[in-house]
Amino acid sequence: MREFFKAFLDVHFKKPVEVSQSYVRDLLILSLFLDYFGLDNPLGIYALDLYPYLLEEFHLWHKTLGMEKSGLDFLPCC
Amino acid sequence: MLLKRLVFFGGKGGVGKSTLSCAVALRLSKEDKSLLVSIDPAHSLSGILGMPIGHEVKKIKENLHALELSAERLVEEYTERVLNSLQDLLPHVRSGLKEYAKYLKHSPTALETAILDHLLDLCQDYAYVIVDSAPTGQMLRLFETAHMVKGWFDFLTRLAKEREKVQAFMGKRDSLLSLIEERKSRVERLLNILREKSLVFAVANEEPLSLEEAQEIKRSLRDMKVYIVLNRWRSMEGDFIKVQEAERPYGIEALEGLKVEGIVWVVKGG
Repeated sequence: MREFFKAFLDVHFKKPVEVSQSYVRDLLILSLFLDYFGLDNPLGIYALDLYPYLLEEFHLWHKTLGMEKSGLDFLPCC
Repeated sequence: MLLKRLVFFGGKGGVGKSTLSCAVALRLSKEDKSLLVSIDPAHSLSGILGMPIGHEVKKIKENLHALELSAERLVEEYTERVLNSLQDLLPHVRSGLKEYAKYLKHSPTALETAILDHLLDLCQDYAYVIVDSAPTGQMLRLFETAHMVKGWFDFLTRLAKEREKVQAFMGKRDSLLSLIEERKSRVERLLNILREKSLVFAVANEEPLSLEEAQEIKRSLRDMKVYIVLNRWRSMEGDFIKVQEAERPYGIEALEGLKVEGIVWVVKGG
């Protein structure tokens, strides 16, 4: 019963909040992956070791952009 | 921190930046532990000091070390380090990052941030760090990059904070914010040094174009202390530090004969 209640909360209250805030994730990923768009990344060398942490996030992101494959050789997430 | 002063020499090509950097570094090494570092991609320290100097720190004499920094090598070393520290990476991710690192070497911003990041490390071990920098445009861009990276990190920190809130709400942990803040604090430390401990000597000759360029440096770097130095001075009068002309001031002995007291006096806090 308790389990059910928690799942109910997650789906009906928590999930919508996460979805409504997904623009934060999108903007963050966009800012960290400027190279993806052929723009010079202002972070220079500071970004490289962040990428492995963001792999999963990046995967979700390009899916929401409507791209099935990342198309990015250096981040082969799928 | 040991550092007393971080000194930059800039100006038009061929005015004698490198020669003055060497002479001033030699003089300052008599006071305290000093490092002479060239960040001009076309290095000239070896020729001026009359001994081979490379990418590794080399001892020149008591209290004086020198190196000719290669930005490309720094980027390579950085990617090496990152890839080694990520041992648990999946093999296809590792090879992908390696591929990306190849492109990194050709990004001007990457090369500049690599230099800035390394300068911060070098500043830890010396009292005086004397930087022989690239000609005007490139030097100004280096300082702009430092500020730009800071601004960019501010923006990213704000975003990452927002994201952390969402993640916490969803009961997920998030390490991105701390990773970004760690990097941001390095950039901030460097900017602090640039603001509080740096001096820029804009070198010119009596030739009007070089003097104009030196004044341009002074105008562009408003929040830094900039002094104009007139190298190979003969007779011109004006608001600048004069260094008299000398015949072929190459090699340590000849460099020590160069009259750079005016510059040294300013560096020591005049």
